[in-house]
Amino acid sequence: MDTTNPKQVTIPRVDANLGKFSQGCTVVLTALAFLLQQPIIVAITAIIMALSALAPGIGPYRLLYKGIVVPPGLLKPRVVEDDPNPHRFAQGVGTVFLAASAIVLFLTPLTALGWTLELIVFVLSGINLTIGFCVGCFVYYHLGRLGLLPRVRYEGGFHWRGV
Amino acid sequence: MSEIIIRLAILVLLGIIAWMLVLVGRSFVEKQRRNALSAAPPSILSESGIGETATTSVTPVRILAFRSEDCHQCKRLQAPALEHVLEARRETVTIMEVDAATEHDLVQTYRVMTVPSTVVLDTNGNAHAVNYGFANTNRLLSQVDEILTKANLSS
Repeated sequence: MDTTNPKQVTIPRVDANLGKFSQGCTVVLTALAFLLQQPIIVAITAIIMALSALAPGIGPYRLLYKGIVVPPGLLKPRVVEDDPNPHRFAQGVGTVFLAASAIVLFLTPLTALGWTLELIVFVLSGINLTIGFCVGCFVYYHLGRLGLLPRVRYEGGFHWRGV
Repeated sequence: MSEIIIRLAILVLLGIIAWMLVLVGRSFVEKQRRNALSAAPPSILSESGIGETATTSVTPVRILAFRSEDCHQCKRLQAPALEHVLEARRETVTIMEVDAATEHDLVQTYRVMTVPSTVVLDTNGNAHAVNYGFANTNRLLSQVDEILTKANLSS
């Protein structure tokens, strides 16, 4: 690293409060689905998370955040230096778990398995919301190290706020 | 109704278990950090050859930036943040890049568990702050400024 003539560099940024809002919504939806035993809420949450992971610009969480939460000042954007790719990957993992849960709950009698898959997302989202430890990002990092993700997509890492 | 209460209890129990696991993890990390902060400056720091930015004069603040060849977050996030710190505090800070895969003594001394990690050293080479994981520009700047403020007060 050149200390004498540092070149202008850019750092990827994410809105941390949008992430928190998304995690909070996921926690609420998965808790409600389990409490009310409504697999349809699981399926809806899976679709929402899939959209957020695949097309962040039209993700329902983002639209809610930008359209309803930010304008009255309930939350203010907090843009921090971070890489968005691991977070999208984590949402993708959540989508897979919730989709599997919904399929199991709708199509099989294995309700315990279905709700276990759903509760995994509840717990991991809760940990990310309260502690800032993103398990999906952690997996992304290690998959990249093992060469199981393309190197260009392996840009994430270990995130644990406060550590 | 009683079923909902049982499910609510399950959710609460899961939350408590997760929190306990997290607390155990955090206390482990804090213990590692305390050990790192109390470690004596390793002699290897006074030798040339560590990092790519070894300079002849010692600046008031040195930052050890632990990285590895396969750590893209080090390149994409941590390196730019360190460059921003250099831009902002040019005369007072030196960045010393450390390859975590080969510098075992430094990794052991500062209990580095992940890359990127950064260790902010004061003028005497004592660790002032240890960041496991990505440390953003503001965090690093505040740690650097704490050292500079202390140095100004004592001089």
